Amino acid sequence: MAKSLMIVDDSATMRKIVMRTVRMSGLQFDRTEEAGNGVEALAKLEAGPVDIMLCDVNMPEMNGTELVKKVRENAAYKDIKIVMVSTESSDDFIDELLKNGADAYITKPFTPDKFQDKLAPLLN
Amino acid sequence: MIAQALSTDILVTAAKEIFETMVFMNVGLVTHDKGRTTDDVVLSTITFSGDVEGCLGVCCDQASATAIALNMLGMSPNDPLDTADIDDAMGEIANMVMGSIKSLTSDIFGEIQLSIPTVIKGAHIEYQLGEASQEMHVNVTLAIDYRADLSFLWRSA
Repeated sequence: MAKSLMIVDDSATMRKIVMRTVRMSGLQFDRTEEAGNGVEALAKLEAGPVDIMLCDVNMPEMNGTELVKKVRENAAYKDIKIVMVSTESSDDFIDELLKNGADAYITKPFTPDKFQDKLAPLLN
Repeated sequence: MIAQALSTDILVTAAKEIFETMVFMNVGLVTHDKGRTTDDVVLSTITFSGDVEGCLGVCCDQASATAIALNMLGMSPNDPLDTADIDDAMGEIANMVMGSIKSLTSDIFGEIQLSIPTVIKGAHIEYQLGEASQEMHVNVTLAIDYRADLSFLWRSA
């Protein structure tokens, strides 16, 4: 089944690194999108939802926390899996994100194995 | 008391974690130190706030910053690279190293919030935090041929 991915991060470098790490993890997607912040991500979702989003937390205009809330408010996006990617590693912060609707969390620095472990179960 | 509790090992540990995992460059300590890199540098800084406030600076010469960006992006030395890519990569380095430092100092500093990184270029760039601040500096080699100077400044808020 075709799978689609959106990478949301204000750093173009990090978006490329995430994309490369996804490829190295062995996960395959038929369509990939990129967005520089939450506002851009929501605009792209309107054109067509994706199966999974990899989102940074600290972004200008609309941060990852707000983006998760907006996606979860929209019934049309209920099947989208959201994985947050950030340097923040405190349990309280991660718990809050998961409570607000994120499906999983990956801390930086990350490896292909970490992506495989977190994303594969969500895609299946 | 906070100054006494911090060791440069924190900077080295954080640098190793990030550079070796995300940039694929082994980190070593500069042994024949000729002083900090000062000419034609790329400086990436990120600030933090909370009960303790301060900033981390990662300073490299242009060649080292370019090598970091190429490695992060999985590109070869002959691949074209925009200045924006280098700046972006250096910003991410500061972001990730500070994230690691935050994790390593959580028992000492408590909860702190990080800013979005800033990258500037120039020569003889200096920065300071003012009175009652502490600082530590570590100069590291990256993949033998390159170098990064890390500075960490902090004070009670």
